[in-house]
Amino acid sequence: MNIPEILFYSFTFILVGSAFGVVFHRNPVKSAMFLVLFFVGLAAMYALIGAEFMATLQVLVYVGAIMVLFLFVIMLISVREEALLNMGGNAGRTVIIAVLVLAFSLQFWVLLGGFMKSQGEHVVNGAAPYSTEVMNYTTGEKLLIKGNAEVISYTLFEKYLLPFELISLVLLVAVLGGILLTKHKRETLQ
Amino acid sequence: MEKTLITLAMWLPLAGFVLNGLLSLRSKPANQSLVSGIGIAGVLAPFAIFAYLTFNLDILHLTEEMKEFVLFSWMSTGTFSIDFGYRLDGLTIFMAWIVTGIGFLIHVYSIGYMYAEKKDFSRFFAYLNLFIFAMLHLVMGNNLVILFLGWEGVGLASYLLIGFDVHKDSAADAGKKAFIANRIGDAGFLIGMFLLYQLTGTLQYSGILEFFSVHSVAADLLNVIAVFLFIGAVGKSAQIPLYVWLPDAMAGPTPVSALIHAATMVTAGVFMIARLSPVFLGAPEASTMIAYIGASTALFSALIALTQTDIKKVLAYSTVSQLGYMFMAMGVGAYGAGMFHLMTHAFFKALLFLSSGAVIIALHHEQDMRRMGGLFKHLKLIAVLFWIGAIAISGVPGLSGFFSKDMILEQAYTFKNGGPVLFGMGLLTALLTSFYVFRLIFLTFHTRHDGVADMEHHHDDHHGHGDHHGVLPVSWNMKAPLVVLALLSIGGGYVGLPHLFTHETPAIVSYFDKVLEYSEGKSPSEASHAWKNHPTESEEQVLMGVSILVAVIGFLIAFLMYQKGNARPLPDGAARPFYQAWSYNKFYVDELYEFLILRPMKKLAEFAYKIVDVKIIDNTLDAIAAALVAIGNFFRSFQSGVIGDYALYIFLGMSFLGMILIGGVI
Amino acid sequence: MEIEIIRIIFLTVVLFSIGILGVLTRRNIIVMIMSVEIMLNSVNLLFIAFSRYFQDLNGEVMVLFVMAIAAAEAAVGLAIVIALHRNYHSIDTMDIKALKE
Repeated sequence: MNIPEILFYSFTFILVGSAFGVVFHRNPVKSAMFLVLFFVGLAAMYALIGAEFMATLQVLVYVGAIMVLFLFVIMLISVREEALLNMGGNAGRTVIIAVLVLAFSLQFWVLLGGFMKSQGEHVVNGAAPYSTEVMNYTTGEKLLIKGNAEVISYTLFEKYLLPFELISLVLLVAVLGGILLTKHKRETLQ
Repeated sequence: MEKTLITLAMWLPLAGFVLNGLLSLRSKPANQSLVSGIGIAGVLAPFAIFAYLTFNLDILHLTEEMKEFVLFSWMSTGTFSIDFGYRLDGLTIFMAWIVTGIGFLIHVYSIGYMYAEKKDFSRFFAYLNLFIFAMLHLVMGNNLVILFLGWEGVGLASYLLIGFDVHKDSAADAGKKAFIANRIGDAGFLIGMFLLYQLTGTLQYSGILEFFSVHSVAADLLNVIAVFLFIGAVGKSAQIPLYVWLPDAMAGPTPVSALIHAATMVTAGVFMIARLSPVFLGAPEASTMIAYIGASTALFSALIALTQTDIKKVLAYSTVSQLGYMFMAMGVGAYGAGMFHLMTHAFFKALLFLSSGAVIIALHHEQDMRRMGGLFKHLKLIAVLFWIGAIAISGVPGLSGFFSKDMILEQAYTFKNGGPVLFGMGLLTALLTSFYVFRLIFLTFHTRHDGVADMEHHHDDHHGHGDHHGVLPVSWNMKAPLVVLALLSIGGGYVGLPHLFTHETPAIVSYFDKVLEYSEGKSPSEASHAWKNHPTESEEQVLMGVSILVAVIGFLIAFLMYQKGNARPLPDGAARPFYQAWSYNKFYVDELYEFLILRPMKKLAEFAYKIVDVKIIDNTLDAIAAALVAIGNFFRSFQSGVIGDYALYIFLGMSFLGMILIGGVI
Repeated sequence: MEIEIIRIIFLTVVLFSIGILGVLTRRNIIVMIMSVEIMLNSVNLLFIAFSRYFQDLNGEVMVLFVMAIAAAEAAVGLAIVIALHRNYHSIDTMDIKALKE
């Protein structure tokens, strides 16, 4: 067993464990903490498979921004602890749902596994960086660019420029919606 | 020009109906002069138009293009289309004369008869005009659908007028009875119409007549069609077994009885047979059946008329009996004779009915002959007119009834399929007719029993107030139509002077032979030539002598029994000899129908209600409803309002789609 | 630095299922939203794994967009939670049944 595999399995353990912690811990604050761990573990996994730029973003966006939002909301609302058995209404329902979810994941597995069998090499190489050929518009010469951040920036600002700008609109609307929903008093919501 | 005039004549009565109908809707009684003016205009204008047309057109020599014209296309689907149009030929103008002429006289008479009914005066005239409108369409239409439209229209007008006295249950019931009996006939008529359409591919008279002038059709098929059409005629013209509605129809006002239930509407069946003469002339077996049914009806209803005590009932059964004569004539192929009798009967029966109406009005709506008698000295003119009508109907030589009845009897005698039998039945009927009509006259006008004194006594006992005393005077507008009708009853027969007198074909017969000729040399007389023997002159003399003899015998019996013997009809509950009881109780036909048809129908209806409807249908529907409620409740439980449940349903749906994907992959 | 992609796929399936389990069983709305984040992130992982596997950058750009949308979704969702709490004084789904009306 080599080092990447050891790392992969330890990250996997962290991810699955923290996901279960999020879902099943009775205290929402602890759930949020497990979610932080989950996000960090996922960032590590991204780095492991060679997407270090996305790993950075993951830490910045999720851990730095979204988790703060969650904790802030939890702080605003005094959330009482739930009894474990009461979490799903009743235990029978939880069991039935668990069985259903298991069946669903099997489906998922069968579908993706079936797809993968049709492929040849089944390995993700974390050490191979992206590279692309870009044109310098002022000189007209062509350059070969290597490194994730560089290549992503070129792709994002050339091919996906319009969606990127539109996403900013979505975020703006979300900000406005958030303000509208939280600022107004009850007469508008009722 | 003619087309405009005819259209105008056809629709003016409807205008009268609408105007008077609107007037009758007001709560205040309408001005009676205005109402009667509108009503009379609605029938006099068509009469004048038809008179003008008759004298300005050569009716017997119209071309086919001139005979029929189309107002508009009524309905059209695929190859089937019905035009709304009219036909003007010798037959329709003949009927139009009778309808509008008699109708006009009866309208005039009605002003006097209905004058006391301030409130319903305009409603009555509205209905009368509606009847004229429908009857004109029945006779003048250029196809069978318009005939049927009119056929139903006169049924409606008849229903409305029978039940005119809406407060009386018996009148309403009689109206319903008439409607239902007619409905049975109509079903047969419709089937006959459909079969005829299937055969000829058209319902237009010109098309039908042309078809029969070109093709010769097997008698089997025509027999079937003729029988079904005749079923319609049986209902409308009150023949056995559907005659039961006509006597009850006397619940309507007397002018209605005269106009609708004696002179015009009930002859629609006879008219229809004449109109479709090629069908009936091509169906010898069906025609024979028609003749026998006609003869049986004539005899049977004459037997009932013998003992009736209601003056209008006697005349009603007499009408059924005379209609039987007409059908006997149509059945033996003597179309001219049948139409001739239709005309003379319209005259003398209208006269009799209207005279009896005058008597009824004079006696304050008394209809029972047992309370009459000795009225001659009070109502001299009416009595004389009544006598004229009675002589006409009984077949005393010189008046119209003699000529037409004698012609029918002679034609029946010559019929090959049992002519003497038909003749015997007709002759017996003639004897009975003479008897019952003179019985009516003696009981009403001549016996020593004083009906007026009796009535005054009666009223003193029961009412005690003075304004009901004595015989009411009969107004001039009731007398004038009677005089006209009496003149017609006397003179109307001279258009059909018998062969014996003139040694040539009677004028009316040759008229109808010409009118009903549907192709070269195919007139009713010629088409039915093979059905008949040909009497020698001495045979004709004997036949006429016998028919005169029975009329006189009938008169003598009535005279001896009621005038000399002073016999009175028994009161209702009295014990009668069985032959009288049978006649008096109308041979228990109503009771028989009650037992054979009504009771099973009621049982069936009860079964349909109590078992089929309540138990089967209701329970089934309740079960369906309960099942739906249960299903709804079941599905409602999914609608918990809990967001997690909705997420679960989304998940399940997604899983299901995943399953389908897997199915696609594997 | 080579990892078999089939294992990453298995990992994402497991994580996604855990997320579904959380959404379907928990009654606390905040935890439900957290579970949704887990599901989104498991999909992100799959995107990036395939992106690396095919040496195709489009997958990673898509993850960028998913992150933006997730941020917006979290912001709006949590704002709704606050509004709900203000009106119902509870964030338990059993107490909020306005959908049934």
